[in-house]
Amino acid sequence: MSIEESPMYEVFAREKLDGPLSHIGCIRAANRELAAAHAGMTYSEKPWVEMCVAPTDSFLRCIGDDKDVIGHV
Amino acid sequence: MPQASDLSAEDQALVARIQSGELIEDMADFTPRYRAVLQKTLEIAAQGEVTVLTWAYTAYATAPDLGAKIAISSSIQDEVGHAHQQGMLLERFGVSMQEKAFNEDPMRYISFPIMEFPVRSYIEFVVAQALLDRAGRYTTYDIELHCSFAPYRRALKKINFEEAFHFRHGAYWTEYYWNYSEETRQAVQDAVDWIFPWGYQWYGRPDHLKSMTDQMTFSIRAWSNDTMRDKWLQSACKFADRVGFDTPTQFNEDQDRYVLNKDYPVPMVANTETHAWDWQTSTWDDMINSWKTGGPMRPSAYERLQREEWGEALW
Ligand SMILES: [Fe+2]
Ligand SMILES: [Fe+2]
Repeated sequence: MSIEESPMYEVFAREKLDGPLSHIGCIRAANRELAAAHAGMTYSEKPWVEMCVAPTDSFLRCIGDDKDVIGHV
Repeated sequence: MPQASDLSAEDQALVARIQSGELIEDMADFTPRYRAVLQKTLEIAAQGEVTVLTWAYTAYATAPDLGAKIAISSSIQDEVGHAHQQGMLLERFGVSMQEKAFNEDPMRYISFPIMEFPVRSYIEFVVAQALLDRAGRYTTYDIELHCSFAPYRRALKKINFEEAFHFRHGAYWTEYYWNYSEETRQAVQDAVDWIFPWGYQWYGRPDHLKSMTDQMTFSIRAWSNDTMRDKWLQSACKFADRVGFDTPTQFNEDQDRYVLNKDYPVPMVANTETHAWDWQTSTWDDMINSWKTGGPMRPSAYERLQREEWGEALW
């Protein structure tokens, strides 16, 4: 599977323990473990206290248009 | 480039929304012309990030110590991330970043020629960071602040944060080497003499030789070439004054700003054989053409990048 056919993951990170978990980007990866590794490498701009990824297709919109997924940066 | 006056009714309506301060979030709101200018901007920017990476790679062999090697590696990693950010956006336009990086004809890579001159010393690398990451950041910072397409603003937050880090890293070490020894001080000045004109010419043609672009019409950016150039010049010269190295400028008390020396040739075309400037005034047409021809590492730098992309075989 080429990288562009791989599923997309949304990346979230928290800058301070008392701050929000914010959406910071998105990546494609062949599986969950690679997604986590790839996100950690790509979004290393700040010393986050927490970072996690979730598959893009697991998100359901409450506000906004459904055809634009949360991510895509 | 078409003038703002020949906009279709559809384009005029979009421009009106943008001018009223609305940010565009949904691609369904695009007109073909808006889509085209955004896509072109992203393609140029994303490919440009890749060329910084192949350039920075040549600095690796010149690094004096482990710390310097780590700094180069992390700036290469950052540039990959910058291409990634804009690549994820390009995907929404149906453009493959993978294609743009690994299957583009190396002769057609969009780049600044300076990115195709190998780095000759670590001092040259840090001076280039101090002056050229500073130049590049004004371009991307303008888009983060002013772009009418909201996702592009968001995508650039990470990029601009890191570009600022790059030029501060460069500034710190430029100052360090300026004060370290007679020899390193001379090396800093030599590097500045080579790099400074690249910074000054970074933004291309002056405004009076340019018609209104779709980038400005649709608020992809808000700062003109001359505006960015002046921001860069003031900032670079202030830095030069603080550290002590020479630039071909002087502070004009009446205008309260730095200006180029009268005899400074603008624009110039670099001599790819001698890896230096001939200090002869050229034309903007020749200069822009020299961007297309590129520097001595074209096409080898991109050929190497493309050879070493293992794709399927990696897994
Ligand atoms: Fe960059
Ligand atoms: Fe950079």
